[in-house]
Amino acid sequence: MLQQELARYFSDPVCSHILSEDKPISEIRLRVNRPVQLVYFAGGDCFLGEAMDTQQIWTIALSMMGHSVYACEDELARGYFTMSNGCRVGVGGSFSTPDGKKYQLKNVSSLCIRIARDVIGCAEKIMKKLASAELSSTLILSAPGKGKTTILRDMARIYSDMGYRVGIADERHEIAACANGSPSFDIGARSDVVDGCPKAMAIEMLIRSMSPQIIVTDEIGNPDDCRAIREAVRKGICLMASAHASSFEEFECSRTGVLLREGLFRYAILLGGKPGQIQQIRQYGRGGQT
Amino acid sequence: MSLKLLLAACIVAACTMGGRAMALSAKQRCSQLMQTIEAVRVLKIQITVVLAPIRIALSSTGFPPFQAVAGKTRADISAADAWQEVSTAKDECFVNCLNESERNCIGQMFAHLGGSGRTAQEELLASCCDQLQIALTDACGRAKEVSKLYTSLGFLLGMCIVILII
Repeated sequence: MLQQELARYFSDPVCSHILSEDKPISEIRLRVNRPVQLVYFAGGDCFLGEAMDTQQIWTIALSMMGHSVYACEDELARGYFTMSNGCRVGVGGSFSTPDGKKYQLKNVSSLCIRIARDVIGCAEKIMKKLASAELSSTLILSAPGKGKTTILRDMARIYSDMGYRVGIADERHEIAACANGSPSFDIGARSDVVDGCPKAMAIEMLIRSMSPQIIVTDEIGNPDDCRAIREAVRKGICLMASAHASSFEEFECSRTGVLLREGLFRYAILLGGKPGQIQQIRQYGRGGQT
Repeated sequence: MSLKLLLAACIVAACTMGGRAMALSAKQRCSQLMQTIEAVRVLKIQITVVLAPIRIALSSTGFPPFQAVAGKTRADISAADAWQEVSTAKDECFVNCLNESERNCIGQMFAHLGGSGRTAQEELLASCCDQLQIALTDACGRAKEVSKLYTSLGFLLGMCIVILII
């Protein structure tokens, strides 16, 4: 289990506490001069151990990167890195531009380790609600930490096992969590993954080389993503995507809100309350909500 | 008399072989340096172009000492610690002909391996390669000089011992 696997990066008492913890942990947070914070999946948190200094936090980050900072350099410049087991680690600290072009992490002051979770069957409820004769593009919206990626991963698995060719554009290695090309999660027998590159590029590559019937991608948010999604839909490919937004209106007002107004996604699902809980489902067509 | 002659022949042969072994070790140092340089070059490509994680990068070099380091590197054991372990373990040390400064050069490389961005890693590996290349030029020159010298010296030493004994 990932929770147990992550424990080995820490010394006691944090390690032993994580190992003996029955409640699932959703995040482990490390901050300079503060004890380690464990955030529980069901809500609530606790603080453990002694305060850590920058060097201790950096040592943990280094081992989480597999002692290979160079391999995570581009991700670090964007404030995160992904561990080989699919857990995304957010990095807080000071950045600088020694060459005036590229930002580099100078000092690390906090880490937020989000424990990736494989919840088999969590998308079944949504798929039953969306059940229609034809496959429809679907967008999942929610605030961070509400289970968008987990649901997308399960959707990929279900559609793949139903016989569809599924392409996963996994920019941040969170959906399939490929380690050396091998997915760490169950994404189905008919799924192909392109990861580690921008979503737009991954979508184009999948269309060109894998002829998918469904493309699954996470956290769309820039104009390049919109262009790639338009292209995919024009080619008859069904899109399953997610985006950060705490309401439909918030997403519609964002840079990628145009995708709903153009009717590129037939369904938009808003998650809220507990992780994975459906708050509302809206149907869209050309011109907006129908 | 024949026993004495046989003994003399054995002493001369043993000393000549001893001299030859010393000459061979100088040659072996050259060969180990060449292998190490080649491995560091492959490592540089793996790290700066392929961006392979350190364990895979070290395994891909095909160089037994680096592969041993890869095998020992874990979340709580850095490549530097693993190298320390490998280079001091008698049964696993494949770089036993290298001298102290060459081992230090490799140790320094491992101490910083993986701990910085691509550009810094490229500089680190290039610098290590350059230092080892200088050592190789020196080692090859020395190997040429001593290969015949040590064999001849061994022979002469054997002869001296024989004369002294007889």
